[in-house]
Amino acid sequence: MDYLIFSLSVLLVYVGLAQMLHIQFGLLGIPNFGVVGFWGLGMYAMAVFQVQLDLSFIDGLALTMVLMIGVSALFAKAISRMEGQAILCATIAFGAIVALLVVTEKWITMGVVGLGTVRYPVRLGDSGELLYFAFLLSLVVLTQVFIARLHQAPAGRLLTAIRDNEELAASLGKDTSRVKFIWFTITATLMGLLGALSAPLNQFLTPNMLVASVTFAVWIALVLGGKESSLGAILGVFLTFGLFDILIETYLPVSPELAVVVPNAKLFIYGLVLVGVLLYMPSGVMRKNSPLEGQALRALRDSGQRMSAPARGIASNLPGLDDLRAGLHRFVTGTPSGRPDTKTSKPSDDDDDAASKPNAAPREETS
Amino acid sequence: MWILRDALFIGVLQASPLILAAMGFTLIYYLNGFINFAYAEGITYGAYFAALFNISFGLNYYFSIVPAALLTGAVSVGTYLFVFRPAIQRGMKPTELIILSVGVSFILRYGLILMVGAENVYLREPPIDFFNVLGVGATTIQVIALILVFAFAFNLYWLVYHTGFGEKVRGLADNEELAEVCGINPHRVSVGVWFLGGCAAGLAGVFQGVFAQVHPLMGWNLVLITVMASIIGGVGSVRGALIASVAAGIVTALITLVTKPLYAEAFLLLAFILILYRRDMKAA
Repeated sequence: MDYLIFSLSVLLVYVGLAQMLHIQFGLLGIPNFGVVGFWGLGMYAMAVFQVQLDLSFIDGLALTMVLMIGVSALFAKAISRMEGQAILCATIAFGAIVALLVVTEKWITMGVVGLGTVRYPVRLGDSGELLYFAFLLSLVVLTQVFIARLHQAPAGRLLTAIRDNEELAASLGKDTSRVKFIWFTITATLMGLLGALSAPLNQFLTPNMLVASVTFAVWIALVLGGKESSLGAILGVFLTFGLFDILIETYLPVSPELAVVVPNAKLFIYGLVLVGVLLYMPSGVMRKNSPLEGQALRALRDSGQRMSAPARGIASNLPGLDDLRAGLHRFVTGTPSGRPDTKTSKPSDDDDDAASKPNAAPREETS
Repeated sequence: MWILRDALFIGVLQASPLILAAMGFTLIYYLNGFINFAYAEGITYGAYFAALFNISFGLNYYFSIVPAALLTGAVSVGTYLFVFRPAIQRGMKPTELIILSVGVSFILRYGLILMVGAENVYLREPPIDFFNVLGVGATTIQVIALILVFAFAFNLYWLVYHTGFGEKVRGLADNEELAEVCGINPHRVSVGVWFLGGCAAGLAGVFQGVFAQVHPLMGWNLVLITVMASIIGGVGSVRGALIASVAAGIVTALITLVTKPLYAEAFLLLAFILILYRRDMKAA
């Protein structure tokens, strides 16, 4: 029972990492191959503050967060203007650097000897682990609610707009580098938070926890579950970590000879799953069905008058699409859009003729 | 001063696996435009194929070099035909292709572990002679590796810049549609490039394996520096990959002489991030 709670707590940490990666890659299109770097930095920082400096859980967590914000912001600044493959190289290099420094900086991390023991925040006997599990669960649920809302919100649509076409988003007046910087800083910091919270779970830390396989386990879960779906992260982690690490490795009766093979066989199957999913099911188990976007696009096509009330609301929230729709309408019909709730297009009704002429510069100043 | 001189010699002597790996990697990257992490397993497989001939069949180390390289080339072509070509034909984007290559890398690496186990394997080296080059010790294997590397590099350079095949490769990398209109068979050229790249990876593995030991993670440990060398050297530039790898080797040797070898790797990776940042910001 204790072990099950431990396994489920680790599973929740993976869900959290996959949720952060969902925001980074699924929504914003930043391929972060250094998940283990941010997670591992948070975990080791927490352990160093607690064990070496003898700080309390809360103080250690606070200092870890300060460190993570600094590192994440610095890194986000560096990658916010890079192109996809360069980001990928930079992040994977970051993960490797963290793992190397943990080995070399023996004076704080104890190197390959290992660092421990990290304590739980409160000493509550047997129920302590259960409480900690409940705490992690509430964090993951909160994050899930946030992600679900983000999918509906203008901010979320801005992220996908940058993912799909950064130049277009920038041409609509969005500061795409800044958006990337802010969101990457937040999500990478939270990856560090998840690391800090998994330090008490693991209790004793060794550098071989910081292998690149951690990153790829999260990636495989996300790709399998569906990188663009809000539920993909959860489903993917249950299908990979939940199925293999908890169900098969812990509860299935396997002979000792076979038990040696299982971890390698697991990673082999992960590889097969990843290749299979990418080739035959690119959007993962949870296909992204987006009634919102469909409706908004239909609204765009049908233009103002025949638009249903909810669709009009959505279209007016879509960043940039509003202007595009109005422009399209003007182009097709030669008149400005007659949408009743538009504030900006009203004054231009008078100089409609001026607007349709090629040289329509004065209109900018009057409206 | 002696540190600089030693670093220069040791760096060049030990850089041969990296030079080979970076040259092969840069060709595949140039043609297909994505970072192929499965290339790491080419290095590993080269070393294991050499171990197969060298240890299981009892062949002399030098005779196992060529068949190991050719077999690795075949594995590389296999990954192209069965995974990457279908993926490219489905119009997958570079980022997705990279994730795909990680999957292929997992299949190859852990498939290998399931077959032969994860223990270290030591190649049976031929008798080693030490000799002195300007006061720095070198072994026969290091010198032979270096000679082979430069022979391979010269041939590759000649192939890419002075033959019809090379022209086709460059044409395809530049503009695929135009190349096809001109009657270039993209399929055959790609298979050729993946075979060459695989051979280079295999050779790199054979030498890396004899310099240290053969183990399933050796390719993965080398691949980041390989990617770095080929990107910094300029994608598709055989000469650039050569220069960047030698420079990386010298820097590694210098830092290793001064402090710990792990700092050398961390320093190179940090330099990589900074260079990507300064370049504003294209990988290619």
